[in-house]
Amino acid sequence: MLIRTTTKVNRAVLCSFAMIVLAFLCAPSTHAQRSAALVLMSSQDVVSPLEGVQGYALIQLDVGGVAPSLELRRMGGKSGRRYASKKYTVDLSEREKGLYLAQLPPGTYQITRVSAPYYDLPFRLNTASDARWRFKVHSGKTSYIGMLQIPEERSRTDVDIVFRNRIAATLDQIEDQFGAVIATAPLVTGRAERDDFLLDLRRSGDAP
Amino acid sequence: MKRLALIVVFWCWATLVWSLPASEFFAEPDMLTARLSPDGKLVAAITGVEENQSLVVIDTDTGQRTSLLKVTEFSENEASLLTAIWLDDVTIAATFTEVRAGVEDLLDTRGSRYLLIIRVPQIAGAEPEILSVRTSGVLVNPLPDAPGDFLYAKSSALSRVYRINVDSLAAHNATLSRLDKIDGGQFVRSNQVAEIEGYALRWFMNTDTTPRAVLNLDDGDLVMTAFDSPDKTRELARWGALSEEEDENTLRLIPVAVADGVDRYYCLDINARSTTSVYLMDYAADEHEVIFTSSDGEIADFITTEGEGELVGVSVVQSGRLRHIYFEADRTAGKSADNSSTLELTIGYSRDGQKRLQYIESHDQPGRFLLATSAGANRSLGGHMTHLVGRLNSELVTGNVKVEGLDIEYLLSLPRAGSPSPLVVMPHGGPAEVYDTPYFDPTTQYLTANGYAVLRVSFRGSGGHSGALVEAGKREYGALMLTDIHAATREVMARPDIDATRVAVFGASYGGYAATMLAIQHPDTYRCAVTLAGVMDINLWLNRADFTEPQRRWAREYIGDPAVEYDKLKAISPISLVHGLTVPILVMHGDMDEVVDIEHAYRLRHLLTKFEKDHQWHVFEDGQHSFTSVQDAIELHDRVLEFLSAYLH
Repeated sequence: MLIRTTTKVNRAVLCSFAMIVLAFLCAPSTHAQRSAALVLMSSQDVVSPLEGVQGYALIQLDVGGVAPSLELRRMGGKSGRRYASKKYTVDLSEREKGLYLAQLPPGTYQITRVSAPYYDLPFRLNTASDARWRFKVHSGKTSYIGMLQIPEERSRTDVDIVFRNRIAATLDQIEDQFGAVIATAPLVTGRAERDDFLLDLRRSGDAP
Repeated sequence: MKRLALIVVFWCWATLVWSLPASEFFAEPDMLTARLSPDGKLVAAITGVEENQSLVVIDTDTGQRTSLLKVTEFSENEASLLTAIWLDDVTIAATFTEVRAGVEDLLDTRGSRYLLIIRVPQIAGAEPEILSVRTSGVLVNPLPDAPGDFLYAKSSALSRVYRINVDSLAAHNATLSRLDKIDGGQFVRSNQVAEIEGYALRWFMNTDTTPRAVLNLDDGDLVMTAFDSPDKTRELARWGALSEEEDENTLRLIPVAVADGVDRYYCLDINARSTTSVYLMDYAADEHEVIFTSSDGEIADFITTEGEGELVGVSVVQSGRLRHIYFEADRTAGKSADNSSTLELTIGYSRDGQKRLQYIESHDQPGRFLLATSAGANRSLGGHMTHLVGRLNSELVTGNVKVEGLDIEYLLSLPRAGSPSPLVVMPHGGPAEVYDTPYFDPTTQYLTANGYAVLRVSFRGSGGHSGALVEAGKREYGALMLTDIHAATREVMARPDIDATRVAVFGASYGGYAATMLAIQHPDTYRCAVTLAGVMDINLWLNRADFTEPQRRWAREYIGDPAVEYDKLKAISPISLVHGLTVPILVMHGDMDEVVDIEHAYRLRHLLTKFEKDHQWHVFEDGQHSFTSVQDAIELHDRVLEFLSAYLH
């Protein structure tokens, strides 16, 4: 009897605890991890104007496979190395090869994971601690962050995911497709590593 | 009148020698590899590439070729022959791969690899009998003195070697009945000749069929186990995870082929950035030396003679294709002991010693296979670019120049012209540990055949000479490496057979970088430059996301660290200096180049346009870092020659 009562009590406690946890997880703000789907806009879409201090991240995609996606987080804290709570997920399924814009608050972002599943084979690349998968979004600017390649074909154990700086190779295409956007939100490099190419190209005079 | 006749004769000769279009120069190799049968009566050879590949036998007395297997007729799939060796006087074992449908998008479910056993028909016109081994494994010893028998290894938690007889194998692709046993039921204990616990990666056998050693996995470690007798083993070496004291510079010499002497093996360093060097390792004495370094790609396998297992060459992977390179194992890496520009190797003997199969290559004659008899007769069997044999005639001069206390050697190829020749300086790629050999180089010979002298310099950082030369290249990417090339150029320009007013510089990869930099720095010397797949922004190259951690560490140590030396590296990058370029440049790049991304070429192009520099531009669609297709080679060399003709006239 005692045992049964205790069990009942415990069940009630557990139920209450589960409700709290559920409420905590479902809360729209303030706690732990929040997740938001990032909207990608191609040159065929109506590009929404920048809101407030936000900037555009410009990415070139060449992705294949069943349901590729990536996750990214803004970096912050005093050291600049801690992640903000909000996680952005980017669904890359059936994206045509080309350039895409995403509107983001300014700051440094880390691509933390790239997923390229093959049905039940979970191909994942953990990039959370690799600075080469980091980019910056500048307020009021269009920040070129790179070209992501995820091939459709892979081996049973590996998929060759590449994130390249192709700003010069893509420059004509960017100006062609997003001329109106970069007229108001100028194109800058959004690579986390220093890259003077665009500045040097636009600098008047001879020496870079 | 006599003088006029002489001029006409000279003009005709010069036209013949100096005007060889790329379409007549570059061609697929006729013969990739050849093997002499134990009785010396036949040579088995793999001819052609890709869909044109065939296995043929050549009668050593009459020279008659008989096709045994044509890849396109044998398989509907994309397929190729990798190796062919003799099991006995009439039976050949050939490794055959093909790409099958497999699982959609999963590449490694498509490849199939078989050991085909091909019996040479003894009656003219008869079809060869083609059998195969269906059990997964590898051939470890052809047992050439035991007709119809060979040793074959199966690997699993318990790995074994079996003696298999050809007569019990079924025809390839034949449907077996329920009563038929796979491979004749030969993989049984009574046929077993060796056994080891753990997955065996490679077996090394004695000529008497007993095991000599095995490389196997043991509890997560890689172990080299020697057999003192079939039942008594001893551990020669063990490789576990890298210890704290070890890093990417620590050698991990893994045996691939048996060398002369006890516990001596030819090895590859699996811890190297790229497996391009062959080491001779003496495990008993714990000593090793480099005996060959490939500058043509990573080594995939060794080529050894039947029976003795003597190392005569390596197979390298170049842009996805397998290429066979022959060398003398007793020569120092890439440098002949007598400074000869001729490579002459015996790669097979008949049982009675009366016939020898030789591989011969020289600076102006492409590699070819010859059959030599004890009576002194030679028969040419085929080779790499046989249509050029006898058509090329250049002189090779070696020299050296001292730069900052270091001897910098160079190779100068000269057309046999009656007047001073224009010069093309050709820095090699890499730059670290890559080198030029005195043997046949197609681009060099194409240019000399068209009237240009070609200079190739073993600048600091180059391999094939000494460790000191390699070490001297550290952090000299945009400094003394270029000084070395230019110093050699200036010395060669002083020769009476060189026209010092007509000098160009042309290179690929690091060579493309060097060509651009030298043209910028010394417009008084170089009248034009050609860059192919060149590094144009060193920081961009070092920041590439696909570098592995050891590669990044090496690059930071050898070239520089973009995180802390950005400005220094920028200052030696062509894109930062291109405003100073005053001579025309041809920029070419493959859009599928995974070593130097095409972004480099685009960066240069944008800046050349900005500064209104005289330049030409070409992108090779689907072009990789190395050019292996004949079509690309023709287009590339046509463009180079046209450009040189325009600016070195």
